[in-house]
Amino acid sequence: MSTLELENLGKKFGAVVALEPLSLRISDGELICLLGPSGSGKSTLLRIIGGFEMPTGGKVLIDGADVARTPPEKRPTAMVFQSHALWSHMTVEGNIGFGLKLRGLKKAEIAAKVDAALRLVGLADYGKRHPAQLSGGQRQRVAIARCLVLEPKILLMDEPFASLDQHLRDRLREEVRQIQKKLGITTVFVTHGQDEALSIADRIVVMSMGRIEQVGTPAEIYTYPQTPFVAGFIGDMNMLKAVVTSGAARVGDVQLDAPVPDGEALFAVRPEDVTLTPSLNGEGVRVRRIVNYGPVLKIEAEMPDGTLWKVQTLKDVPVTEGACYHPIVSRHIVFREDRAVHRVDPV
Amino acid sequence: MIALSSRRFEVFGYGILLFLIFFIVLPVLTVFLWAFAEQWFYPAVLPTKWGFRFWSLVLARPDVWAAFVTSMELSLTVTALSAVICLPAAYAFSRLDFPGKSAFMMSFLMANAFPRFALIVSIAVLFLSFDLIGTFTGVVVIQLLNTLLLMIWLPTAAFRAVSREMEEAARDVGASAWQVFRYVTLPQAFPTIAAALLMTFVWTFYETEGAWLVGAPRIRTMPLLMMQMINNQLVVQYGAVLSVMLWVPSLVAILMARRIIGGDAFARGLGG
Ligand SMILES: Nc1ncnc2c1ncn2[C@@H]1O[C@H](COP(=O)(O)OP(=O)(O)OP(=O)(O)O)[C@@H](O)[C@H]1O
Ligand SMILES: [Mg+2]
Repeated sequence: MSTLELENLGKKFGAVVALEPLSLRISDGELICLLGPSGSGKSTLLRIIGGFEMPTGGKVLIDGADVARTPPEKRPTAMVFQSHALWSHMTVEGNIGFGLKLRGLKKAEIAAKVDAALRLVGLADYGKRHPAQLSGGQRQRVAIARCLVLEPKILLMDEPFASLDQHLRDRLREEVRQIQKKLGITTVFVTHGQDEALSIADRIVVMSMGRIEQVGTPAEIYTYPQTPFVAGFIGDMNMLKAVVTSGAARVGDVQLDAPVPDGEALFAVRPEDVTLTPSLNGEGVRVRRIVNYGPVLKIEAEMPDGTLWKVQTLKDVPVTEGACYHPIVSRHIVFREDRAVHRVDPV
Repeated sequence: MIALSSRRFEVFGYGILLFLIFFIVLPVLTVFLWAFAEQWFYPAVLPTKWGFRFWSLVLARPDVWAAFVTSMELSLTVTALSAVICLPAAYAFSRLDFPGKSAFMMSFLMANAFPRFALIVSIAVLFLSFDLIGTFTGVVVIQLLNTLLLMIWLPTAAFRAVSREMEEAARDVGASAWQVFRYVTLPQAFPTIAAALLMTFVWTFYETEGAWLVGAPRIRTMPLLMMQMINNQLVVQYGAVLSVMLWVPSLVAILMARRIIGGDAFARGLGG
């Protein structure tokens, strides 16, 4: 029921440009991940949506109404903070019920809603505890319940699980995803973990240096990165510089098609899009290292000129360290002036 | 190696403990004994005759009661005024950033590093021209000046220590700026502020230099009365009884501090 639109939204802190003017449309019920390295402006963007920072320019439209200058307490948004930010002097119930109390709801009504919210995050019997008596994961669940109980139009989460261990993080992420789908609540989720983004997002917004690099589904972002930054930031990637002459470039003995004007270009090749075939004449790449990752092998190989190749194959493909192979590339992307200009997909 | 050094620390600890007993507990104990002694001849270890005679003598004196009332009035007034003046200032200092803020905060420290007696004398001279000498107001003002540092520095630090995200989370669920202060900032800073208030109360109750220089001869607080009695009379028991009486407010204050600042009680107390 709620859409979020950002129009030319920008933010400067004095002379520092934290966000260059950007626009984005988020549809109802969508879960968007803001993904990018430290300092790329993710938190700034989220805090502008939540009302904790005033944008230097632009609009924040929730269901068409501009709230860019509305204070946080009057916005239909709710935020889960990285530090959970639970009020340590209140019980879990007190934390979750506080917003309802401010809205002037009756005690019985508050109790019923708090109870339902606790049930939703699987903490039915924890209402009487203080935050100090909870584990890290339980605290974040309370923080989520505290937001959901207010039935916000937009849910904002700023690296909510960053301080938790991997296992717990994976579990909570799944729970959040389920709850979010069940309630159909439009959500913006900040993370700098690409696994996190790839696994829960409907769409990912990749950010770098205060700019949006690319917006797309996890599959699009992974398979068709539009800038070298996205190509290098998401997943493993071989980034190879080469000179194009008459529609192709050579990296060692590998030929890469590039129907673009002659000149230097950047080629991106995923490790799993490379297959190794034995080389009888000692040309190609020499395998330096093989690491066993369960069902796959991650291989590091080197060309005579020192160019490193990352290759990933299925476990039952025979590869030995020290031997030479021809790399065969089935899919690659060509970048020029920081934009993808050509793509070769397997036939 | 570790066992050896930890033993050494133990010995060290016991040494300190003995030292404390000898120089703090023993004198306090002696005062206590004197307060309940009617006769105590050398070389008896304990009083030779026990009783409450000196208590009834001391408590029957109107000047003791007058001084007690004066001291309570003074301490309560100063604590209340100090809270009214300093707490908003502390909150402002913790949130505002104005040019010269750190210099301003430092100036408090500098003033406090200055020999207090000299400071009080010069203030007393100033008070002379305002006709504040010998008045309750005069003593209140001098004590306020005394507690300013404590009541601004401690609460400022307490307010500053409140997590920004906690305050933002409160706004996020719909709290106005005032409600954030009332339900989050203040309760979070409360233990430290309570400690500062109690210290202000106790400090004012026992302060003698300023009270004497500005208040004499008309305003007589409990500690001043005690000093007077010890100076003028050679009956040890008067002083001892007054000491024990003086000890009561600070004991109450410390017990209250323990109750308020002891985590759990606090957490439930101001839960809102
Ligand atoms: N209050 C502020 N004053 C000045 N500069 C700021 C402020 N907040 C953020 N910045 C700057 O804005 C830029 C973006 O910061 P932001 O916190 O949005 O990054 P982020 O993507 O959330 O990074 P991280 O992953 O480390 O949380 C950074 O260069 C940062 O230094
Ligand atoms: Mg951040």
